[in-house]
Amino acid sequence: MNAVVALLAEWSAERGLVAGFEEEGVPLSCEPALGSAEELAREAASRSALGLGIGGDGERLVLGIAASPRRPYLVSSLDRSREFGRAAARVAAHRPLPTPDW
Amino acid sequence: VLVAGVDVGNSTTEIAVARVEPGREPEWLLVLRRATTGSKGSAECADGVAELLGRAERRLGQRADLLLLAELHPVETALLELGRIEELDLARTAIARPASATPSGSGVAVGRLRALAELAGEPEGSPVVAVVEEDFEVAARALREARTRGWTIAAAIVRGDDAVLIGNRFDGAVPIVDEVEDVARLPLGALAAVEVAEPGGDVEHVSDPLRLAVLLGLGPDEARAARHAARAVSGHRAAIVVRGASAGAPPRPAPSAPVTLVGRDGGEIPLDDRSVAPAPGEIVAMRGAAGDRDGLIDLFYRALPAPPDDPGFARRLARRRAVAIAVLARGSSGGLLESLAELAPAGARIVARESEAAVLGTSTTPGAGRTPFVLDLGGGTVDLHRAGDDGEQAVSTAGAGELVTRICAALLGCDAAVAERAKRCRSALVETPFVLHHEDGSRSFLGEPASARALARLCLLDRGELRPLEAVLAPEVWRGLRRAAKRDVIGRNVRRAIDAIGGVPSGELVTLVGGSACDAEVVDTVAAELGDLDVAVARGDVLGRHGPRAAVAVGLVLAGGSR
Repeated sequence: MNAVVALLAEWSAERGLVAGFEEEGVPLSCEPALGSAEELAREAASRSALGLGIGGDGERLVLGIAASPRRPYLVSSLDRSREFGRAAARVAAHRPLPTPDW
Repeated sequence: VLVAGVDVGNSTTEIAVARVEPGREPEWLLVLRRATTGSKGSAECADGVAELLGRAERRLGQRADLLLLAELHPVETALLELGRIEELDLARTAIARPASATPSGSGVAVGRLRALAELAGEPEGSPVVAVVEEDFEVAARALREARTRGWTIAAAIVRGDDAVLIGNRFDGAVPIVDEVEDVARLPLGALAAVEVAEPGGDVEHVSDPLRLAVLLGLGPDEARAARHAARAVSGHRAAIVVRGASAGAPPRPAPSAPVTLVGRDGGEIPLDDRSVAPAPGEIVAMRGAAGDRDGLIDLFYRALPAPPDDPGFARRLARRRAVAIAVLARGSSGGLLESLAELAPAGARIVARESEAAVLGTSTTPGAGRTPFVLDLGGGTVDLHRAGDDGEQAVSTAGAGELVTRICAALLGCDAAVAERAKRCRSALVETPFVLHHEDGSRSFLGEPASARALARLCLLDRGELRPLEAVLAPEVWRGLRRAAKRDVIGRNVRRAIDAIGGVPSGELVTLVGGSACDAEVVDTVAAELGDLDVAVARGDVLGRHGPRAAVAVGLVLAGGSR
């Protein structure tokens, strides 16, 4: 099991996500996949040791919580992958999100 | 006839409407309240009263015939805060900045500030602190190359949130602080000290003035001035201090006390915020940084509370030197009675002194019998009313609920509206999306996950909602500070008022009314403050249904009925 899993239909977000997680010191594993951001986030959360999964498609990045699969926990546009990665890593590390971005 | 008892307080105006017939008990119809318009006793107060009477008329379908008032003693209350004197002084010798939630490396390092681009040139013999605005990959490559060519990179200061990324690609041991927004304004060429402590720790070199002076090459005179910079960064995990342009210039003489108090005897004393505020009536005027004021009835001041076991927090607050000052001064009534008389067909009549009314109204509390000592804990003042067979006595002390709100705002770094809620609500830390950590250390589980905004933050539990605060405080610590603010202001002013009337006899009943008495924590605070007096401290419940509210307004109706 990986700490946090990202399933990405659009690979361009990977660099930003990885950098955001690295800065916060939280391990992330990214895999290519097919589907909508929300579906992928649900799938990724079910595979994560922390119950936190990221899904990405051509438009959006979504953070899902396995314990609350109905609603995305964080959502961002694809072009803010670095900020989104940092915020998602902070959720995993139980650190407050930077305001006022979120 | 329909009468309305009207009580205009410093922050709240209340009316009690009742039908009164000779020889009968009043039939209580309605109690309404709103924020006071204008300062207490001034003509502007009539606007607020008119609005309340209009509301009562719509609810009852009938207009109040007669307004019953207490004797008017117009007063002004104000809250003042001293400026951040030390920060001005600090700018002269140094730029000191706590920085970074996620720094890289550890330890302290000193060097001259150099922009990353400058490191492409010939290496300097002495260590440098790189100032980085570039993206992490570019920055890490430039730092690696510069080191290979002979530069000594002692530390780095980064604008973005990139410290760990740069450290991982350059050198994980070198202290790197990030999230320094205004790196472009740092004086290149100046000497800078950068310190990063281990996770969970605080800086220990740059927060020591003497060590800081050695690091930055300041002389013995300036080491004393360096205390401001040291204080500004103490209690943080990462910090930078840059030697200012005017360091080395002779130090200015220490500024004299910013506020001077004038005593009843005309003597002037400098305000020392660590001292105990003098008794009501001792100070008649103030001069200086917080404005000049005459005709003071009371003046009260208080430095911000700090958690006893967190010296870093205490030093951070001390830097702000925030002092809250409340003043109570005589005002002018400017035709309030005349304005109010126009609002009712039978006009307005003064029927009692405020103390008399407060005691009459509070005495309607079930089980109280007569309540000879009434403490009115309001927004602007704590008023003590005593009504005995030998007449009435009243003391007003400056500083009550609003001063507590100001102190909460300063501690939390929030605005007054948030502080007003923070003063009254319990808080909890959202530990995970599903777990709340409460003020008493207990945990509870949430059915729905807390919002991402609330995560890992101290939140107010406000009417079933979680309202995140900016301040980084444990719930237990915040509870301690909030209670200390109430004790320091309301508890202290209760004591000053009781001392001023010569004490309360053992075994006597002291009844609390007013808006601040709605807060159970305030009631506890006052009971604890009066613990040594062996008196019964109880909360009023006016007419058995209004809680500690509307005591004076109800008392005025009772006083009017007996005349």
